[in-house]
Amino acid sequence: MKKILFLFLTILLFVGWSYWKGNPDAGLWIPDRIERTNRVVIKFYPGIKEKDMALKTHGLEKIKDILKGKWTVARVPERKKVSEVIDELLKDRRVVWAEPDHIAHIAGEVSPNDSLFGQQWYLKNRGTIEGSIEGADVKATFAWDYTKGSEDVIVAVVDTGVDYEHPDLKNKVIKGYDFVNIDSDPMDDNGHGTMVAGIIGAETNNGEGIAGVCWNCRVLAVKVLNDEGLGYYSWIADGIQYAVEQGARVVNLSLGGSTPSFVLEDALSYATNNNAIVVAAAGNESSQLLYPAAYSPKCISVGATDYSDLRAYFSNFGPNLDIAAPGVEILSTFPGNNYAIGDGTSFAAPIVSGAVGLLISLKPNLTPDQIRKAIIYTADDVNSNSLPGFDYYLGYGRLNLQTLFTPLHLE
Amino acid sequence: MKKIFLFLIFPLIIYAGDGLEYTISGIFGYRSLNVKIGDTDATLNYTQAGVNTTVLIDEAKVLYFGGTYGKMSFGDEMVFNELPISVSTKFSKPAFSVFAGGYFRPYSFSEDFAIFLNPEFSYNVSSHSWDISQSPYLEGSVDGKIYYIEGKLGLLLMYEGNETFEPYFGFYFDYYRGNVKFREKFNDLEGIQEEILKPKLPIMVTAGTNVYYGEKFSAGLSLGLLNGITATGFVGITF
Repeated sequence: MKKILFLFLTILLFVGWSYWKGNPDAGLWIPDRIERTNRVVIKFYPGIKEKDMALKTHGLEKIKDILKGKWTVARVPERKKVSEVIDELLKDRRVVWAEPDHIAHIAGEVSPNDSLFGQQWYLKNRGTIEGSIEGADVKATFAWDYTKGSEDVIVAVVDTGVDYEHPDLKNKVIKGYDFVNIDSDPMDDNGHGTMVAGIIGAETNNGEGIAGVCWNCRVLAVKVLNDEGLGYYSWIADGIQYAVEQGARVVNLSLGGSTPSFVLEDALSYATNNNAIVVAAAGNESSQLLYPAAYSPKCISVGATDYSDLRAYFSNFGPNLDIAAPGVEILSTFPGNNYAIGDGTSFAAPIVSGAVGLLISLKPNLTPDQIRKAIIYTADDVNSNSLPGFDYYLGYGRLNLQTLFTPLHLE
Repeated sequence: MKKIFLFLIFPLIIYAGDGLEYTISGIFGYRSLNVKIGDTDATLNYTQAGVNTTVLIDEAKVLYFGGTYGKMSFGDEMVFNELPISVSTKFSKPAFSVFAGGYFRPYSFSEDFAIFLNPEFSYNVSSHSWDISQSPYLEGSVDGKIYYIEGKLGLLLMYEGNETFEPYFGFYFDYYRGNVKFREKFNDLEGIQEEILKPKLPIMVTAGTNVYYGEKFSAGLSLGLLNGITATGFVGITF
């Protein structure tokens, strides 16, 4: 009987041990409330004179006294864990209390340290530009609290090429193909594509330049427009197919023509059927939507708003307009280590492309249809006073990344 | 699985109606289980109360079955991020369970101590539907469901040298498997996230005691550890 009991217990322990380990999962998580600090705050008993000696005993480096000397702030050396030091301190008879010097942050927002971020009103509008309204932005800082994007997600910029040597882009750009000059050097000879690329994925939190919407997404440069910003539909169709074949999950088309085309429509279908989503600019003629934007729902069509959440005067409109994003005075990267400001739905579309990149980074299993609907159904209906609900001028409204990424709380 | 479970229960109901000695107990319990939901470590809390029927077949064989009603919740707010529109919840909704099991004494080796083999199966479920009206476009519903089927097999060492108190100690292999499923529908936007629910550690040790007052009345308390915390109790009357 003892042998049977021993065998039974051994099996139980073995099976139990094999279930002990676990991994975090991107798709399901418990909010992480543990921050990293390398400092502790300590309260010594009144009258303890050898505080410095006590700190040395525990290998701590004093930073300063606070609250009129009642508490001492100290740095924990790299070789030691804060939790271990706290345990040691709490056992020290000279110490009343010790705790980690926790790090506080603005609730739910992440602001990058890029030097020009303050001028990117479209990501966070503080109302500092004359005539602008605070909060008339896409609320990107809230999205970054949930995801900063993934290197696995490639956003293709099918445009005039990209200046892949720009300091704010060189670590982010994948050199694709030049369908204009038929070579593998998609260098930008116009500037338009470089601006689009910067909005999507400029290197962020690097202390210089601008912030991209999708911090960690990679940008695939595909040149289909020449130095005058012109290109054949066939180049564009080729560019879309190429981008999808290279693994792009998002294809940004800040371009269009006034003539419908089965070639373009087929190219959009090819992208959608291969689990990629196309984002297309509505156009800047204050007229009907350009193609391929007019082929929504095979793409997400994007119009433009300004810094007061009003429709940009030039933004095209129509029944197939899905959403709007800021498209006036948009700061971005420009060839030759420069930055420039531009207007147009061309610069609204990459804000949406970056948002799609963030969404796919967090939720890689969503279909293009789910992505499109999630993006447009969480938009801010900013012209609801005059045109409540969906309308031809702003579609479902202005992109709102806070609503898109903040989970619905179910009681 | 539900059908298999019903097959297990029916023979017990037949036994109970066969003129044998049986005990009806009011039971209550709290469980805080360390679980894996998908690959995420989580806690599943379950407060429950219900009825248990114990049938004494002979000195070496006792069967039981019953059901409980209670509340199931996650220990922490959980975020379901694979849905097109993420949702977060602690759940905390009504739950039902049915269970059946038995105590089998393989052989006697002492007058004062007895060893029992204790298999038990249970089906546990909780579900809820939330109506959502976040904006004109985000109108719809979210349905959530947690269920798991649990199978326990334990060895129980019981002291029978006292007529009033019957303390015991047990080792259990306690495995359960089910899933947590959230489905959302906002206009024509639909999404489903489904995660496997299983134990982080499928082992439990228990300690407890049964208390007898005369031949009719009994009560008991037990505490289970290792796979979380399971505290249960009962008050019963024997017919």
